[in-house]
Amino acid sequence: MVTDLLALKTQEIVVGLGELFVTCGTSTVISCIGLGSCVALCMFDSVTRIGGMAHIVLPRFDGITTETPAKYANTAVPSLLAEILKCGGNKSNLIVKIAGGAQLTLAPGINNTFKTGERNVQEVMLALQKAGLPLSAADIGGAKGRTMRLYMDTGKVTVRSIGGPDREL
Amino acid sequence: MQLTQQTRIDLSGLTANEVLSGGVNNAINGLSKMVGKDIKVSNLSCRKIAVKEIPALFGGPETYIVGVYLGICGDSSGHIFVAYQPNTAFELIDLLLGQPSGSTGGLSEMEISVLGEVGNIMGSFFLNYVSDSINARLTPSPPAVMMDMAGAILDGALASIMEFYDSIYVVETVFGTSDRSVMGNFLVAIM
Repeated sequence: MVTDLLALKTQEIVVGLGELFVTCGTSTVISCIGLGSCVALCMFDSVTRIGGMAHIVLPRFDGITTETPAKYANTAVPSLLAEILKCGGNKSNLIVKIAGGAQLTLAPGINNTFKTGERNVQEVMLALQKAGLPLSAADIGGAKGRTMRLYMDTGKVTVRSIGGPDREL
Repeated sequence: MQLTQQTRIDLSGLTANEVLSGGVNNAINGLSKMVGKDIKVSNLSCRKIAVKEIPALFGGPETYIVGVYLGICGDSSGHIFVAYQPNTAFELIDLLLGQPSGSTGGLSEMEISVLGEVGNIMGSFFLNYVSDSINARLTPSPPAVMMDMAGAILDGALASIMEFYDSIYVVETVFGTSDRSVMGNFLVAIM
């Protein structure tokens, strides 16, 4: 987990599997690259301009505590929210967007092995509902990889797939 | 999945490395026989790495690749990936189908089947060698062929690993012919 309130240079922060990143640095671009079944959860406070992203890998953590809350959908949502609030964000200003949750591994005999993408999306939705956060936009499901980027200077969120342009979400 | 009943392959010793290296060489021999070309193995390594670092082994999570995935089933579990740059995969398909170079430009059912068969041969040759060496029953799942960002292709398998482990032993190698007509990455992650 990384919290960077003093990001002064223009930089792209790539959030890795099971990580989250929160910043108020306006010259920062936060990204989750090459999402398949994983889900990128993006929150941006449109007033204080504090934003962050979590790279969710698995649907649920049912233990007592985890050192990697961003890895699981049900713990990533409250963790990212808590980090943003800790940095001065306001829950009522948050714009929440998600991307990912695809299913690429398709072959005879293993079709049902990895329904992780679908389960990840379901758990994110449930956790957002539980946290009282409405979802503003989503680009989910299907059988394609995605890259999601949050531009902190404008709050713009883009999603792209292979061979396609960046599309604003 | 009953992990407690599975045999965990101890990868800490030199012998285990030798077994896995032998398995990789056997897999490449299988491919070599299939395409009728002399294919060499380079940069073979066996090491423990963080699961989140695995996409970097394929050029980064956004790198466009053609990947063939096989699960390892039986007395142990794991994952096998064979990855190619798209143009190299198309060349390999042309070679195997006896077509002029440049004939293949995408993946339809036939091309997917060809690449799946290549992955199947490599996975089976690898697992046969390892199975015989450690006297265990290891079989590959049916192959899944995908063309997309490396991170997206790997996600499903990495998620299943990260359910239990944050780091894992991988055997990775780059293989290819001297004229680069066949070239790719072969990676095995063993749980």
